[in-house]
Formats: sequence, C-alpha cells, structure tokens
Amino acid sequence: MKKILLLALPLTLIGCSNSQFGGQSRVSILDESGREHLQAELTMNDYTAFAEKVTNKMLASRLVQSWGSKRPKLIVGALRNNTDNESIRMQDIYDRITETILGSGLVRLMDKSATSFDYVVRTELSSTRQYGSNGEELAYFKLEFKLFKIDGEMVGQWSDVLPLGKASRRFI
Amino acid sequence: MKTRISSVLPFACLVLILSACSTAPMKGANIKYQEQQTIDGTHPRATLIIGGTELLNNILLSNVRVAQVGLLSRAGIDVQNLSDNRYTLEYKAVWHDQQGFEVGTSNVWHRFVLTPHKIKSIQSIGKTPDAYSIQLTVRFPDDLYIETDRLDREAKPFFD
Repeated sequence: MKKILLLALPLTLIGCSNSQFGGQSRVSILDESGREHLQAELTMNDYTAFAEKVTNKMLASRLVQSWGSKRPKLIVGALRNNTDNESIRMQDIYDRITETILGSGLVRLMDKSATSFDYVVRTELSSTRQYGSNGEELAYFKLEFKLFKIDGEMVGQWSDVLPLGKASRRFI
Repeated sequence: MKTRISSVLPFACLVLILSACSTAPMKGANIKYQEQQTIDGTHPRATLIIGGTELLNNILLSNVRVAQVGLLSRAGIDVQNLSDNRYTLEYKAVWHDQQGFEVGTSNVWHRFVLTPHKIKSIQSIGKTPDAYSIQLTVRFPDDLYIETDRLDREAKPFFD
C-alpha cells in the first residue's frame, strides 16, 4: 500500500503542474500580426510595421503622387545597419520594404546592378539605448528613407520610430 | 407515450422562453449597434471596430476621410479618448477591394497612447491600386505574454 502511495504521489504532482497554455510543449501559435517581445530588440513584425508606416509616408508624398502611372525605375539601395546590434536581419527588412513598394504598382523596381534607373532609395536603421539600475531598458529604433534622383539630388526623406521599453525585473 | 410528452413539454417550453429572453445583439464587423454613439459608421468606405466593451463608450472613432493619392487610396480616422483615463491601445488597418476581398495582407498591430481626451489621427494608405475600403480595429494591447502575466497575477495574488 505504501509503495502504491509513493508511486502515486509523483504522478499526482506532475499532473498538478500542467500549464493551462499550449499543452505539453508550452509552445503556442501566435497571432501573425501580434507584437510580442521578449527583449528590447526588433522582431519580424517590427520589420513589417516599419515597412508599413514608412511606405505610408512615402506613397502619400506629393512627389510620389506626381508619378501617377509613369512607373519610374527605382532601386532600393542596401540597408545600412547603424544600430548597436550587428545581428539584425537587414535582408528581411529590405524584403518587407520591396514587397510593399512593388505591391503598390507605382514603380518599376530594379536590381542594384541595373545601369538605367530614375531614383535610388537609401535606407538606414539606427538605434539608441538606455539602461536603468533595475534592469530597465529603453531602446529606440529609427528607419529612414532617403530618395535621390540620378544626378544625386535628394527629393524625399521619410522616417519612422519604434520605441521599446523593458520594465524592471521582479525577483519574487 | 402521453406521460412522456407531458414530462418533456414543460422543459421544452422553458428552453423556448429562456432563449427568447436572451436578446443578445448580433455581433460582427458589418452589423452596427444602433445604440452605440461612439463609432461613426456612416462612411461607406470604412468599417470601424472597437475591440472591447470597456472601451465602447470611452473611445470615439469618427471623422473618416478617404481620398485618392495618385493611384492609391488614403484613409484618415480620428480616435478620441472621451475618458479621464490614460489608455495604451493598438490599432490595425486592413484594406479591402471593391468586391470586399482583403488586399495587402502584411498588416500588424500598432501601439499608441491616448492621454485623457486626446485625439489621435490615424492614417493608412491602401498599398495596392485596387484597395478601396478600410477596416480599422482599435483594442487594448493583446499578446501571449500580456495574457500570461494577467493569469499569473490572478493565480498568485500574494506575489503581486
């Protein structure tokens, strides 16, 4: 009888420790448009948010409106990572931007090696970061678009900022 | 047989009466509450949604503008905090074509803060030429970790 009780106790404890989320694996499928963060770093959906908001500004500008259905040739230059994090996947941000611009149908997107084009977009991602004494963290990320004509004249500049704040750690 | 019908009949009547009493309004993006005065649902090219009963009479969605910018459509919607609370909210704009199908699916939730009585103007561009109408949802921030934290607090109130 004692042996049965000893065997039953761990099983009962294991049974009690079952989480109410996600079953055994504790992995949940998230909302594809959700903005979850575990660290004060950019996620894939932040890249999408940047692309969405900066292109909002760019496509609403008077210059882009004046293009109408002319569909000028545009090169999106390589993204410059001017943040303190070298591991940000710049290609993914680049792809989100080109996907949005291409979908608009307003321009003809050219490869970076093209010799004939009308405009170049230069993009830069930068960040600032502050730390508190109890593990708080404040990070600002900024994505900037600069549009240049073929002769080097800058004709447009648009940016968007994403602030991420991490609260202090709770020890209990 | 008779006794069986007579025993079932009162229960059936009770169920019918109870279902008639539950006059819960139909819910859905295209069915607007007539008694809800804080959503301006008059613009034919905009569907505005407040995601949460707590926000229902505290947030005003109004002043919808939809205009053409070049070949694309642009929408502007004002969100006003009618209360004395400070709200952290998020919004998502989804565009549909004239047939009502969703276009440009890469949309995510955007966080914003409304201090008491502040008005924020939300703007969005339909990023394909066939984008015609906008669906804007405003709600309290919701993600897995916010929900987990809330349930943890409820489960362990002594540690809060």
